[in-house]
Amino acid sequence: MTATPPPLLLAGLLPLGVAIAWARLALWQVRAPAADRAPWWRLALLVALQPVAAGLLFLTLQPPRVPGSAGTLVVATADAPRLDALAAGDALVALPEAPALAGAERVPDLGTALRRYPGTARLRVIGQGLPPRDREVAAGLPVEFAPAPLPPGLHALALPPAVAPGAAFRVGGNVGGVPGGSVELRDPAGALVATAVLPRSGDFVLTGAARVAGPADFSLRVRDVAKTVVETVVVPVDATVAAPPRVLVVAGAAGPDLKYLRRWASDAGIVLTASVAAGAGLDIGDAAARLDPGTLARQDLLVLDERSWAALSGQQRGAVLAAVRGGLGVVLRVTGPVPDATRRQWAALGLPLGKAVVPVRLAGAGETEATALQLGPLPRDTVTLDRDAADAPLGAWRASGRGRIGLWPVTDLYILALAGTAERHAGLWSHLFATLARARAGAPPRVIGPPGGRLALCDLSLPATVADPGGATTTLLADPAAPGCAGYWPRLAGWHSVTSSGKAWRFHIATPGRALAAAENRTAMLQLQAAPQSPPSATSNDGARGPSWPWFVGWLLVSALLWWLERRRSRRPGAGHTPADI
Amino acid sequence: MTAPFDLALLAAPARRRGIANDLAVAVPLVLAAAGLAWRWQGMAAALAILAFGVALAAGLAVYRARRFDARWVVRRLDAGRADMEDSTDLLLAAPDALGPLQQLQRARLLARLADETGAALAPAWSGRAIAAAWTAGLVIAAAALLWPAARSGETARPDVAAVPGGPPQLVAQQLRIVPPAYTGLPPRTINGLDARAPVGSRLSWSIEYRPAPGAVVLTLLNGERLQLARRGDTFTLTRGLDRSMLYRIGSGDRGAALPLLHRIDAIRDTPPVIRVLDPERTLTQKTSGQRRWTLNFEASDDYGVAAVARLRVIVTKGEGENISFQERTTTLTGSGPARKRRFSASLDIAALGLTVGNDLVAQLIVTDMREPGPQAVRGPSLILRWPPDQGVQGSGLDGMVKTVLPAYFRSQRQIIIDAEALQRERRRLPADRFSQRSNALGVDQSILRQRYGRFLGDEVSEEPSLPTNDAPVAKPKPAAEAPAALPSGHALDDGHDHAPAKSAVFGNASDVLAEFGHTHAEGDANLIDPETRTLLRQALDAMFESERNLRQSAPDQARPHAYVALRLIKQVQEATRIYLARTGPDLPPIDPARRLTGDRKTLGSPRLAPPPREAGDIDAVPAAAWRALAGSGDVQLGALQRWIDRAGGRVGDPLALAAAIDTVARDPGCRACRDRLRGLLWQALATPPAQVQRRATGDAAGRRYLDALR
Repeated sequence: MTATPPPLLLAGLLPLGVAIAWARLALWQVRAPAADRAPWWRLALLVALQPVAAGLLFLTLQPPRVPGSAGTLVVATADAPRLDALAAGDALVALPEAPALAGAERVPDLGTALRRYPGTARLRVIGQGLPPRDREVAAGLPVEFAPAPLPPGLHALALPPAVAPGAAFRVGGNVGGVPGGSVELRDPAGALVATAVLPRSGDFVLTGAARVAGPADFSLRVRDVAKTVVETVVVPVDATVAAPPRVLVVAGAAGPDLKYLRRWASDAGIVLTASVAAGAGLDIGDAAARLDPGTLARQDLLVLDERSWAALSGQQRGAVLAAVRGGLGVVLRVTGPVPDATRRQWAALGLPLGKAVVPVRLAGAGETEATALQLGPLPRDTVTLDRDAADAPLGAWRASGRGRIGLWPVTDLYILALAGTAERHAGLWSHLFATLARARAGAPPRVIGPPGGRLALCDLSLPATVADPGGATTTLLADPAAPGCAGYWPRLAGWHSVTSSGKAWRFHIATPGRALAAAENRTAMLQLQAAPQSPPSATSNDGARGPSWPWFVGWLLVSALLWWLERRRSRRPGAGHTPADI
Repeated sequence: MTAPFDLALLAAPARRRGIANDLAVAVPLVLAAAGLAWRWQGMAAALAILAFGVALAAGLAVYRARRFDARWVVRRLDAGRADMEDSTDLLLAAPDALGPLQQLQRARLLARLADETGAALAPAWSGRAIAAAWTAGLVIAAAALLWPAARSGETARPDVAAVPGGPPQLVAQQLRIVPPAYTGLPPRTINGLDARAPVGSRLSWSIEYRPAPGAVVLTLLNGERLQLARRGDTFTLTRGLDRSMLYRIGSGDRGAALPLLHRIDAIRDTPPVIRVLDPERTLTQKTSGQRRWTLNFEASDDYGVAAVARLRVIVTKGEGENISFQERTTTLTGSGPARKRRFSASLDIAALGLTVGNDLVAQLIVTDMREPGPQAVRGPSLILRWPPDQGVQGSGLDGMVKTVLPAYFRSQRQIIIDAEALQRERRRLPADRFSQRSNALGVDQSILRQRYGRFLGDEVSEEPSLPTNDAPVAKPKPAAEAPAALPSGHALDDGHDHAPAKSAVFGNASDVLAEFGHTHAEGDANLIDPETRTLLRQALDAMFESERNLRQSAPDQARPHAYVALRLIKQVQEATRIYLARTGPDLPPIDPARRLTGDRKTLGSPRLAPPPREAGDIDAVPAAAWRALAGSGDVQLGALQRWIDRAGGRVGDPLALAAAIDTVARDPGCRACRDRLRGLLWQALATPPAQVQRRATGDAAGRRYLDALR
């Protein structure tokens, strides 16, 4: 319809035509002999039908806007169910991920669809949701999302952050659609590390341990009731060596717990200075501790017990607390009965102790039972240090300024080392030290982005390069929209290394499982749906025009009726009077 | 005369020609289709396609031949023969319906057609179509049969790259394995170079190269090079297998690409296993009247157990500490198959000289047939015990006290026996000797009385006491430490608590008693109920009378008292059990005044720091390789191989690691090979002690937030 005359011209011509037709009718009526004059009803019909025909001709030439296109656009995405009935006037477009749907218009992406239906005021998304490439396009529009059921498999996966060599890590997640199934964690050699039967909720947490420094690809397998593998995903574990913390241990007495702590620290390469009081001013540690601000500023972690705490002078205590506000970490060990004064002081720090001494069974340590002093009612701003096998909190810490103070109530952790679970003993201390020790600059860059999409590498000093698993390096460019960030499009799955100002970090790009991708898509879509929308602008003027043929048919019928009426009249003169004319 | 002339007969040749034409076109196509089916789906599919295709082609041909009917003949005759005068269709009409002229014409036509056979009417061979069909069919069939298989055929080919006119190409490889004769395994020949064979097998490689290179070398992974002997185009080598090995075979040229590694696993001969079928237990008690002892063994081995085994039989003689052993060895001959032989023996108990209270020990020793050095295995020691006489160990050793008391009961009886014997010998003995022996008996009686007196709280007098392990060790005490005033008859270690009265609480009855007198109702004595105490008291009185008479050299007068004592003590024995109190060690109280008063200068110098572990990280090499393998860079494979050689038993399967290293060395870019090597390395790496991850400081906003926290 490229040759359509401008509507304004049409709007002028057509009334003119109608006027001429009326004039013609009037002339015929006047000039005809009285007997041949049309009866009044026919004349009325002829007069009335002229503008109707003109109107229909106008609509044929300028069909009105499609009624639905100014309303809701239905977007079919992956796994979209076959729609039985669309709402009246709704247009249905199918993105490339969608299955074959009858009556759906295939579009390469949502942007194309919106260009084809410019009047779209709202979107109705059916199926698994818009892929990441289309979400930005949809962001300005109200979105109604009717999610399809997620495919069975892994629906959520929490990957471990960078771990220290030898330290334990935990992988959590959620599996849906696999009732009675199980998950298992396998090491890079394919050997089973941990397994768990899925509860009804589908949540799971598995524990593994890193070995040497370097990237390791563990794998997580989801099996159904019949033990057939439903899904296998990679669990990337990056073991990185951090600078070991400088630790000062001030012990009120020598004890087995201290002995095994020093054994582990020595093996793990931690610089640990011990001051062990033997009474009467005798120190059998490395050196008598001097708890002044200068010494404390040089330490990353201070380990005290209830006896050494009680032996601190008020000035020393003040120095310790001031150093904690400056970033020092403090572990308060319980090795025996705690005096009431110490209890009060610790409770003032937000770490109250209870009275009962209870046996605790530590997770991952088999049947071995340690002893712990119960914690008192904890304030809300304390954080649990660890949990025992029964998932009860074990130890707590609280931030104080930039530092942290932790209370470790287990009195005989060393029995783990004696009971043959030395790695668990080491893992617990490692976790404790990692949680509480002074923070350290030089954090790895943050990698933000959907899997398979554009990544934003933030907290990075440019220039920086990224090397992909194939060995190709890419120089990153700063993102002017996000200071400190750079964009990167990964092409290969696997371990990438980013190098910036002489330092290198690793990050892993995985091809997500279908179920996981669908679940992440759904979350993003629900966020998109919940996001506040700008009201749709009234832009129905430039909408696409509807089909013209119905108007043409109507015009044809009206024209035929006119023609018949006129022919009947014109035939009349030779035909004398018929009863029908009365 | 309905059909005087059958025009359809004239169409028969044409019909045959048409069918033949169609079949000639269709058959090659069907054959080609069958060839394709044979290549892709196998013979069954090919036969099915063939049968179906031929049937379809025949059906189509017959259907198509129906077009050659009478009307077609009419058309052909009208078109082809001028003498038919375009009136052949008269032949189709019924003669009765024709006019006379028409009948005349018809007769003329029939006369002209008398010699017409129809052969001329048949269509010509459609030569081009047939030629095209056959050509296409043959090409397709040849392609289907001759097209090289995608990959499957390649593994069977030797692994040396075939470059025409280039380096020598391995055209045949054979490995003949001759297991040692004793295994009884047949020799076998395999076409590959990887095998599993028993230790001691003879391995013969037979390699054929074309063109034959100057030399072929078998290189073991440890660097040992063995030259293969040349015989024509074939190179051979024979070698014994003593351990698992990785090797490669190639021309040995420096420049040539390294050939693939091959692996031969040596299967070690396992020692035999002995199972005792009879008796069921290791220790058997001899039943009364048993004359023979039957033993049954089953010995199994992976290749075979020697038919002759030895049975070691040991007989003990004597009792108590004076036991001697007598060993003899007999040979047994086994029965049954070599891999699972049975040995049985029946020992004559009397002939072996087993006596009451002694043991007969039997042990089977079998050997397998390994050459050289058969492996001998000793079975469990089976013991046949002739139980000692019941009377000797008759007393019931039930309770704790009964382990102590029977000795004293016997002692009382012994005193009576000795006293009676002394009385009988009285006349023969000199008077002083008699009174000396009687006095000695009196001392014995006294000791016995004092031991029982302890149960009643009696105090030990100056009489000698039996040495017991719970008696306090006599120590010379400094005079200053000895308490000045103890009640007469009391010693510091007499079992009473002579604690200083300072600790007493005023008004406490027991403290008062402890201060001013002392109670005897403690220790062992209060463990006995009152009736037993009475009996024991009477027994002690009788013993005292007996002792007095014995000491006065009157054993005959002592006898009745001794008998009374024996009777009463037996009643005590029957009366009840006696429970002894458990007591812990009494530690001396700590004197706080003396604490930390010594010289402390040297204390604290021995540091309690744990000793450092061995220096250096033994896993540094594999850890570096682990990291390097994750990327695509170079890996120090040589160092890794040396680490494996040094690591010894820490690596589970060193050959597999070595093979994986070799694969990576040949193809450094192969991701799967690197991952496989990483997996093996992961297994070989030990988990280090957990190190500490450091938390991050966070950004400026986070720090401001933390600083603002109270």
